[in-house]
Amino acid sequence: MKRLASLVCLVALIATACSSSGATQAVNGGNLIVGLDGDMVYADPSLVSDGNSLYVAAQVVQGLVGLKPGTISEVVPVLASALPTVSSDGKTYTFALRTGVKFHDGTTLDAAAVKFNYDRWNAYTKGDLQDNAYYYGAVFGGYGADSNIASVTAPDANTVVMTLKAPQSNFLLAQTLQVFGIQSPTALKNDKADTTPLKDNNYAQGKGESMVGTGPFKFKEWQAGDHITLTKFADYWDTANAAHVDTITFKPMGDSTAKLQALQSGGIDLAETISPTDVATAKSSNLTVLDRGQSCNMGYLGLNQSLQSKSGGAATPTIYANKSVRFAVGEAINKQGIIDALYGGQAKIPQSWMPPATTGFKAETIPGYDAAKAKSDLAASGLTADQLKIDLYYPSSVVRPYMPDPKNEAQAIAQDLTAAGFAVSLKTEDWHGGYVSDATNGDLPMFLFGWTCDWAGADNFLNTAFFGYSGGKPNPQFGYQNDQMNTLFGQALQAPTVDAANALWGQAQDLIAADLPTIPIVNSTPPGAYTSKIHGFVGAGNAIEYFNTVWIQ
Amino acid sequence: MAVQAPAVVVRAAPRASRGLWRDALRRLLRNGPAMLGLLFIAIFVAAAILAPLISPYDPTVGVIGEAKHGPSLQHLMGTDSVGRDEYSRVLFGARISLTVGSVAVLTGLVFGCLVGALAGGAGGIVDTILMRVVDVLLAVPGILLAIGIVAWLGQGQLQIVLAVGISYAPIFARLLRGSLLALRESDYVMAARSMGASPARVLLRHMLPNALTPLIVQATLAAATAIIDVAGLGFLGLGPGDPRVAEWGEMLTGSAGFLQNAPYLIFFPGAAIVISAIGFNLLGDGLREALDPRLKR
Amino acid sequence: MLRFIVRRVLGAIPILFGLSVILFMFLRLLPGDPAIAILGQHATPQLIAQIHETLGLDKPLYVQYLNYLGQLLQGNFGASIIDSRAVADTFAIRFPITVELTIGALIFAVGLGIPLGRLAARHPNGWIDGLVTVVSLFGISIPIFVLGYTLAFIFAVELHLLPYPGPIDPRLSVDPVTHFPIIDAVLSGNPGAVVDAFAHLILPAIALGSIPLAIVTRITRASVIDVSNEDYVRTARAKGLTRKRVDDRHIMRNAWLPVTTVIGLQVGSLLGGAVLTETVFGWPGVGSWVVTSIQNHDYIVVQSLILIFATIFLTVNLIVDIGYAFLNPRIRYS
Repeated sequence: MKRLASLVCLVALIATACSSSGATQAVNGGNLIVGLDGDMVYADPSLVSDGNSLYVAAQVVQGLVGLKPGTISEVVPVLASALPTVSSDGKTYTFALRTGVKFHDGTTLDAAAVKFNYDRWNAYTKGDLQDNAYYYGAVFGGYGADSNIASVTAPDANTVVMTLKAPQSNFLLAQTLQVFGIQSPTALKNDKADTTPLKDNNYAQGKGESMVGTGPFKFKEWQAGDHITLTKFADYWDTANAAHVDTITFKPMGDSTAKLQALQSGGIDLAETISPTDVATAKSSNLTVLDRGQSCNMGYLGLNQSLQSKSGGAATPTIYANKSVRFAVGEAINKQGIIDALYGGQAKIPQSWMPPATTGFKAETIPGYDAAKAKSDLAASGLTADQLKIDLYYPSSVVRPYMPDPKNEAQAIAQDLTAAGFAVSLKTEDWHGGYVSDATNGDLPMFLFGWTCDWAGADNFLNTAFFGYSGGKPNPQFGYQNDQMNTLFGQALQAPTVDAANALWGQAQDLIAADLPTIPIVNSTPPGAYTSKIHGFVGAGNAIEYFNTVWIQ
Repeated sequence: MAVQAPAVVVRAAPRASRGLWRDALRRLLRNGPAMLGLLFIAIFVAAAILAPLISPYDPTVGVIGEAKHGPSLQHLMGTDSVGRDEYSRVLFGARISLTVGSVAVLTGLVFGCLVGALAGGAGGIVDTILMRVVDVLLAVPGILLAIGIVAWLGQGQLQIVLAVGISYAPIFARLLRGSLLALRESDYVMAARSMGASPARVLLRHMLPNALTPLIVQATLAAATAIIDVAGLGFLGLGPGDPRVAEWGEMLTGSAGFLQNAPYLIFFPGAAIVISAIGFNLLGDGLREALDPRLKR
Repeated sequence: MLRFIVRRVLGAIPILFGLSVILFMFLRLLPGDPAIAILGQHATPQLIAQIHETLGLDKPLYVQYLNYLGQLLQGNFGASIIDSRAVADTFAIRFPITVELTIGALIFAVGLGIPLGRLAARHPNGWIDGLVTVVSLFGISIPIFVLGYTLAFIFAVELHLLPYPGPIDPRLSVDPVTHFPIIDAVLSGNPGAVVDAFAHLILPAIALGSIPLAIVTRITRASVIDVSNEDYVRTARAKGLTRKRVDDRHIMRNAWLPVTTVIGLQVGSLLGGAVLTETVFGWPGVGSWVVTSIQNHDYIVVQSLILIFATIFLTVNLIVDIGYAFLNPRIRYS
């Protein structure tokens, strides 16, 4: 019993509600106004993959497992009463469920409800549902017969058994995503949540009852573009960690200056993110700047060794196929200078191709800023004057957590590269308007890019985002061929245990660091901020944050 | 039968023919505010020409470690986000910004006047069709129109300037056509016509010069907004491309978020735009008055 | 007059049809893809192709256009590609907010611009004229976002005189009935909410109204000066009429004409200006919707919105043209 209590305490990390901490007593009541980076897309968490929808969903739905608040990779049980037992072949996961958990519509959570949800996702049809429900297909390799899930069974009311076709080392970590939140089967059926096309789907559009989960808050209303309102759920199962505030209103606010001024004027209480360059201003105007601790992203300078031809012809090798050119580029860039000037210091220089708190991370030696060495390396590479003329691409109309000011970052890098002896032309494209597809199709030779973790696993960075082969060929984004590395990726993904996988990911990182195929620039922690009335908020580097601990005074 | 369109400026003064330009120049030179405006413009033109000689630093290269330092003796207007000297950038920026502003407005004037003169001069079905097209173009937000034109013409400094200019053309067209229609019915135009002057001559010699007042006002105002609009396209990723090249509008929009932490990065390029706008407008006012013989005092 | 109106309305139909074709092609010529907006960093060629198939974006352009036109003719503006909401539904919620903002800006611009223009015209090139010129030019040459942020910083952040952001404080929980923030506040029966809604309107109305203010001021000044030099005004003065009477009866009645034209034209640019103002002030109106829809390449929303804008603009200008007939007896519509 005592263990359970301390576990519950750990689960929610409520500094104030746990007797062990904090002298101040949490106050109940009040309406919390939160500035969200943008609007939700759908009110059915299983149909979204964007940060805004997931941020709201985290308050409302819960999965079998989740992340310890404030961390990015420590898995803790949520609707499961403990972490699952795993068979020795790594294929069968057995979860024991918590008892006495109620959905927001008053029905009770049981194993059949969990099975219903997993079966529902697996049955998503091609078209609207699969197009939007990115994660299920991405984690399990597809839907229906293609899915790596062989079966989900409910042998009794409180036991769920999931059987995989092949071992999958990222299984448990990926299940912490909010998209695997369990919703009330009764509500899903009554509201015809699987209706397509989605323009006729009231559940997904939040027009009535929506996201009927088990979380400390329940969905009240969503007025598109204006606000999303959640209210405290009175029958929340974890009474020790029930919500303090009565309502949360999320206001979509894309503009960072508007967010800062809204905080300063008291128009909103908390902003999910503020611009890193506003950190000093925020601190000086009596706002608390949220330190998100562990980074869960990486911004990098992409180098493409084999430029794809837009007209469909053969790919042409670039100067970046030459290893000493890549090292010269890496040594030329003053990363700390960029972090101080453009990230407000809210970032660290990466030590590998993923942030340090990621499962499977191994610290590597990556060339640091050394202008003289960059010059000599470049001279030694034997490039002709014509080859030294390079194009550097940066995206416009976009701000990413790992790239708060792409235009200035590109100019700063261009200054450094020019100093090393390159002749740099800056080029830009609209982020949605061609930049992303041109970069991922391998049409850009050198480009600013980055990745925000889906889950904090080595597989998500190394394989999904960066260097994993597709169709037996290197990712065209980088044209980086290393068959040994790709073999290691395959072995690690199907390793039966997380430890075995991590050893293999470590070996892969050694290979990558020796080649320096891209130049990691930052692991950032996007700052958020809140007013002096707000207490008890715990930030996390992956922006999975829970408002049940927050109180207003 | 024609849809008689609304009058914009109703007036009935015939125009003197000889000695007009000399009179106008004399009136302009005696106009204090106009000369002040000319002085403002002259200062910026001088800055643009002399920039390579008087700039203390290279406007395109900075030191990242000295980013966003406030104004000081080393850097009179401070340094920008990547550590470049803002004063040098303001001086060099005059080159592109003044060109951009005037070329865009001239483009708009040329296209607008062609359409407006055709509609207002020809009347009838030509007028109806042209004006409805103009109405539609006016209904599309200017920046969107410009985006479409850039998509059509391709990216580049010149294309952007043309796009912004063309997006102004409908306003000029409508203003000119309104004035022309009003003048068509005025006594002196009727008189000229009855004396056997050709329609083209009536239009060019008698009507156009008298219809320019609202155009000049609008054009001088547009010179200022053109600088901003060109920068706005850069904001959307359709800009001229190399952000290292100094340009006021770009310097200003790029600093939008620095109101509280580096206000000088807004203030100096902003002041340059405002002062040149005031210059253009004072000069425009003087020009309008100088060209209007009835305003002799 | 009736025939004139009927003809203008009928004439608008081919124009709107033509606009719909041009817009459709225009938007699809722009580099970009809504599938990437949906997928974000997960965009892979396979997933993009799958989404194109679902949305019918893989079909030939003319087929896509005919589908869209078919919907339009049934009075259906389509649904967002990104979040599947019917454009008409979202428009009904967002448009009143933009209308309130636009009216606020217009009241500010006209209410202040006409007196300022008249004041400046009284002594052309005097110091008052110079001051008015500088102030109005300030308004026009400062981009809306700089002016907006600065106003909010001074009056909301530093002085705490006016609220920010949005059209009303969400803590008041005013029920949206008409979606006009002020009207909803009145309907809620809470006087505090009404005051709050008005207070929220002031700053964005000033920011949005700054450009039309400059234009109205300048045009009023120019046309008053023009008219003051007309013979009949001189005659009126010579007859010994009082200055006020000459101003009101002889000058302003004629000077109104160009001012009205410009106000009509400005309604179009106000809708355009609302794009930036709403973003800066966090107003969930049509303007901020256009911004996000353009960024997401949400073709259906953008093209339907522009068609609606165009219709509104044509209507406003028709009303302005009719207004002329009342303001100036010399104009007759045959």
